[in-house]
Amino acid sequence: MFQQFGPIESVELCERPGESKSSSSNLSKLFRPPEKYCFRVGYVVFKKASSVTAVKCHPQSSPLIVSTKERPVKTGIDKWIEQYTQSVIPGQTLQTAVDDFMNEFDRQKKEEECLKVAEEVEEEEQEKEDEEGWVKVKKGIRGVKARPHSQTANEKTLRKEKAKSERKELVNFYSWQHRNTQKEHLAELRKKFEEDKQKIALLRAQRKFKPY
Amino acid sequence: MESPDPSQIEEQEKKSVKMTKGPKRQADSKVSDNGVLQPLKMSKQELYKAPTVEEFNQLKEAENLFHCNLLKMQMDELLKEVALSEHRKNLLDSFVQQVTHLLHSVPKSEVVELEDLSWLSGVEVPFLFIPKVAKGKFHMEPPESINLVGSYPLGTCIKPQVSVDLAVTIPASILHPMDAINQRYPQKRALYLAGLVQHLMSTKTVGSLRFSCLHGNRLRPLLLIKPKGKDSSGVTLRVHAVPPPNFLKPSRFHPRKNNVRTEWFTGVANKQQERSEPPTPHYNSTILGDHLPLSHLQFLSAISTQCPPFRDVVALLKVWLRQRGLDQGAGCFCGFHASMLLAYLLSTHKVAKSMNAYQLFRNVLHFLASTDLTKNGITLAKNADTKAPSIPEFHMAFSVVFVDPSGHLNLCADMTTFTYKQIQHEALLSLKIWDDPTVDCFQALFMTTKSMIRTYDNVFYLSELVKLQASCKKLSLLNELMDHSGNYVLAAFPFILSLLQQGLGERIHLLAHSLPPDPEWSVDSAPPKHKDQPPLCIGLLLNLQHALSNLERGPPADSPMATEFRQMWGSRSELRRFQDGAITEAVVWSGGSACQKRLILREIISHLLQLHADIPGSSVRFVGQLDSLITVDKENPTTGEEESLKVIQAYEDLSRKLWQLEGLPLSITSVQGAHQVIRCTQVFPPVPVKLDYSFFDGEKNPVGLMPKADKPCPYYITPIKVIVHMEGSGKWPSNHLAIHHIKAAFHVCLGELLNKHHKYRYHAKPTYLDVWKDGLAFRIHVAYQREPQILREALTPEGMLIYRDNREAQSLELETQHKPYLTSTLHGLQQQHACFGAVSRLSKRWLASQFLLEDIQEEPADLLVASLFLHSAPFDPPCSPQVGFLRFLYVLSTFDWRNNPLIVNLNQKLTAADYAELKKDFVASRESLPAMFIATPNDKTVSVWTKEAPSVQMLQHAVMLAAKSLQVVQAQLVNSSLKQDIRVVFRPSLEAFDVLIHLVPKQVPLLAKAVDPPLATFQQGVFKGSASTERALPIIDYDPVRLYLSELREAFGDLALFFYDPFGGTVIAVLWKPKAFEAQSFKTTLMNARKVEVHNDVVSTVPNIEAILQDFQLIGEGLVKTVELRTEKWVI
Repeated sequence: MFQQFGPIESVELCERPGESKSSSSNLSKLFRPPEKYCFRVGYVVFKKASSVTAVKCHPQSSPLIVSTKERPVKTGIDKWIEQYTQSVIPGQTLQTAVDDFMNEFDRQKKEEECLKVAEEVEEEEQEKEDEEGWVKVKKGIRGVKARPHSQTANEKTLRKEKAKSERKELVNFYSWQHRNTQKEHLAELRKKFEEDKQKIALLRAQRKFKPY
Repeated sequence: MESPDPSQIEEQEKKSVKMTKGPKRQADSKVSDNGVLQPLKMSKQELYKAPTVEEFNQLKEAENLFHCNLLKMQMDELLKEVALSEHRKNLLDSFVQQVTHLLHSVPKSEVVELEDLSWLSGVEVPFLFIPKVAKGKFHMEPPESINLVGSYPLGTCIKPQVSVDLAVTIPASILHPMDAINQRYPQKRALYLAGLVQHLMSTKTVGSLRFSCLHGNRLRPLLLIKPKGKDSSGVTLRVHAVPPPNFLKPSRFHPRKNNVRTEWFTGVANKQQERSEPPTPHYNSTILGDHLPLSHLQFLSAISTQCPPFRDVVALLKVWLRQRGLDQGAGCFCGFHASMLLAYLLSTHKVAKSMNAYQLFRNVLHFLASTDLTKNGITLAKNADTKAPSIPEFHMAFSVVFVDPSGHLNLCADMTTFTYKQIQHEALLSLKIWDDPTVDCFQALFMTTKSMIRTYDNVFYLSELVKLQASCKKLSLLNELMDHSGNYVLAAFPFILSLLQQGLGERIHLLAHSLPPDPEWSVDSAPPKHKDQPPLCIGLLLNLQHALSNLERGPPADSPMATEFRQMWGSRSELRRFQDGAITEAVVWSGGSACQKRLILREIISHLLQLHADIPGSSVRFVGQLDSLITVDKENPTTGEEESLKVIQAYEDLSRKLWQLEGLPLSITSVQGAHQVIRCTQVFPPVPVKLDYSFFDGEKNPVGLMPKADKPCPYYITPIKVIVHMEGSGKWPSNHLAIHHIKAAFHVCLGELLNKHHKYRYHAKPTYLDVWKDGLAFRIHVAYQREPQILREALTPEGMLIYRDNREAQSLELETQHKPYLTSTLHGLQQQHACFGAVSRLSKRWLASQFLLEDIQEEPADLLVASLFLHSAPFDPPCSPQVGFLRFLYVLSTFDWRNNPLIVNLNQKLTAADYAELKKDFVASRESLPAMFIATPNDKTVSVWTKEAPSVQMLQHAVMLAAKSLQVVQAQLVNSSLKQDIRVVFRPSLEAFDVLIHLVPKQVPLLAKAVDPPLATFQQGVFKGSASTERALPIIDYDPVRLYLSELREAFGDLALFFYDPFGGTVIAVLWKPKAFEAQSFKTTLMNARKVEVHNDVVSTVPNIEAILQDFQLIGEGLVKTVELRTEKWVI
């Protein structure tokens, strides 16, 4: 379509303007998220700069049309039927796609593990006495009681500690404690009472007391 | 309203904090203007200051009443609302004085025969002379005395419809001691009233004058006077004419005595003089009742002065009764009865005088609920004189017995057993509501009107009441007719009701009926005839265990009861031999599917009425034609219950087969249905189908059939979602992409195994596996328990593993955990309440037809319907689709979504404390919560189903539509004369929309299910019935309209809203967003569907409407018929 303005080097389409992301994911197309059906921005790279000026001069009132008689773009029912037809795939294809990915994944994992092992080995090497009998001592790791490494575990220990301290505390032992609980109770009642009053006021404002 | 100056109250408050005095001050300031509840903030100082004694006592009281404290305050507010203002009272007093004065000046007239009505002009006598005018003399004379009686002097009169009773005593000289016989006294009484009217009309100082009668009793006409001028609305003076007290001896009106002679009534000379005359208890109590209003007033005022909250309690009772439609009409339980009952409780020390209004009211309800006045009558008479009839004697004559202080009069003479049972039922229900701390009992007790049509499962009307004359003949009710002075409606009605009760037996919990209303007519027209009454309404509360059974099994053929049974059922009764060997009488009603069975009750009722009461089927009108909207199968009408059941059976079979699969790398830990049809709430449940292979394209793809472009859209096959959880294992990778692939591998594996063992066709996709089984498509999703967790994982820089919530994880959790759980819970609910599914389907059909199902989606709609069953107060849980649907509309339209969360207590898991906390949290974070907040035991803080939709605007729109629809449907159902079709509420109004996209009907897959289905349907490539083995996989889940809609929304979602009825709609309605047409400054990121305009060097962009409209057409090539522009509202 744009060839009327000059030879084209490349065309790129994306959902929003901006730098093009290099979407060179090697995922099988079955697993990619479906493309959004929306307006897209196209970047047309011309071979010559003069073409750009030619485009700029193109009048706004005459739109450029993609779908032509010779190369129609399928829309509507035809398109949906095609979509459906393409979406139905034999199990084999899927299985191979999965297998490919998993092989790749396993390979990567193995590599990572290898790296890790290598690192550990290196670390241990470092901790050993060197030729002069020195040992490189690192921070932490051994002996120090570290905090747990995940959020849930962390919360669990915190809860435990709290429960422990609460168990140790005496309730209503001193007279001031007793007084305090009474005071709290009264405050709670008061609060509840005020809340009820607020609700009533709201209902009255909405004229909710007219029975019929 | 009386709201004193705020500063004044503030001062009062400082002196004493009295609950009733002014609970508004601080609270008022905290309610923001838009009526949203704000979280309460109190300063520490305020909370912890030392309490005064009054405050302490008051708080103590509040604590004791705890959840009722709010109720107590609400009751106080209600009482303020219904009490008469001083201003109104003054007006009334002066008006009463004026009328009294006028009445005293009635001129004396000459003595004439009773038949001679020539002295009356311009006034008709408010009396139906049946059979004829009695013999006697009559003349006018000023009344002996005029007294205020009834609720007004007692102080129990409430707004609205304030009526003040005025008893005008007829001078003794007009009456004769023998007047009680043969209606002579009632006729004279009516004449006297007519005479008063004639005088009042000549003076022309009062407003409108009309006649009515007391509690529908035509022997006791009333004169209604309204004041002149503006105050006339809502104030009525009711003039009763009464004989002088003690004019006639009460012992003459013993319920066993006769006061209307057969000979006089029938006009036929009685040959057998020695035969005793039949007793006329109702007639007697009518006349006796006229003698007693003054003494009743004295009695009640004596009691009420002893007990200060007496008035409040009676006022509350009156509101309570009125909301239940029990306080007006023939045989009502009105405010007078309520005061008498309270007086009874006080005088027998069943309640203490020191109790407060709240406790007294509760005790009255308790007494009503626990005492059966139809069996054990009560009396107010302290030391009855020996001549007074005994309670058993009363019971023989009347169905409900409540004897007045004189010991002679039954106050509930006209009440039917059924009305009393209804009162008892209501009282019991109210107490239950009261005891349930999770219910807003104030709303349920006092504020909700229980109209017949929304209360009872089945409602029918008896119209053409003139037919009841024939029933009187058929039932040989001459004595009753005489007793009711020819009012055949009142005479025959109790018999018809007990006939129905007997016939329906255990099929129903309660038979209730509307009370025949008090007629009102103008003074210059003849009183309306008995047949002119509006139709009588009868409501049934069903017992679903038995209500729909086809069989009415009678006694064994040789037992003496068999004759009775045969008599009851007539020709329908036949001898049958049962499987247990018994040979008994039985009646069998036809009906296979649930929707046909719902018609059995109709059949029984029409049969019995025709057989025993000569009431033809044409004069019995049953309410309800809504079933047709969810009819799945037209030829053999079913409303989806059976289909859903079949799908569930197929699902259970599949589930079993999945469990038994061997050769999976990991074992299955759970198989859960996650589709609406598994909980019986899919509007049109999928039906097994057989394929017509010639219709599809089978060559292109080896896996399954493909649609052909030149054929109409293929039959839509709904995939039924099933979630399969796999066992957790160390083998699962911890990378979500890898999990994704493993799941895909499982899909393939499951599919292959199912195909190998059971020959099911399958189609595996990365996200799901479709299985074609017995004409149904199941869509299996494999899930891994820890996947949402893994999606949430993130590492902090310190290396700690933390969990961050994200959208992906939430939606996965929704699909794999919440949805199956909800489905199984609601399936359980369906087992408890058989019509849950039908109500839900009807409601969703309505939502869909009004384009609301996209906003109020299936799950919240189901939960809303579930709440009708779980929290039905003040009603009983619905037992028919129609009543459920009406309540759905009612709840949707009246619920205060802004200030309250809708709490659906599934499986009763939430406690009262949970409720309180839930509400507190809700108020505290209202702003950030969705517009429609539905909480369940599993989801107390988020409301997962309504998070995305509806928006505030759409909810508002839905509320309005629901209110309007409810109004229209109710009018339709109550009034048969309205010609419009009931489906009118299922047809959306398209007026408000900007663009209508009309679709090609051939490409709409569910066209046959449309609200107004087209006459011509087209071939969709399927046959009925299920085939055992299939050659190829059919087209599953292919709906071009939905694809079109999603493309439209993705492309133009920021400019317009698209609405569509998914059940066979052929129109997509488009509404431009309000800001769509605003010009915006030029930005490269904002050029979608816009064109550039340059005005005075300012570059701006506006939407390119022509192009957009062209796109509508283009995107839907082959599907869109026309794009209709409604340019009147917007310009291109």
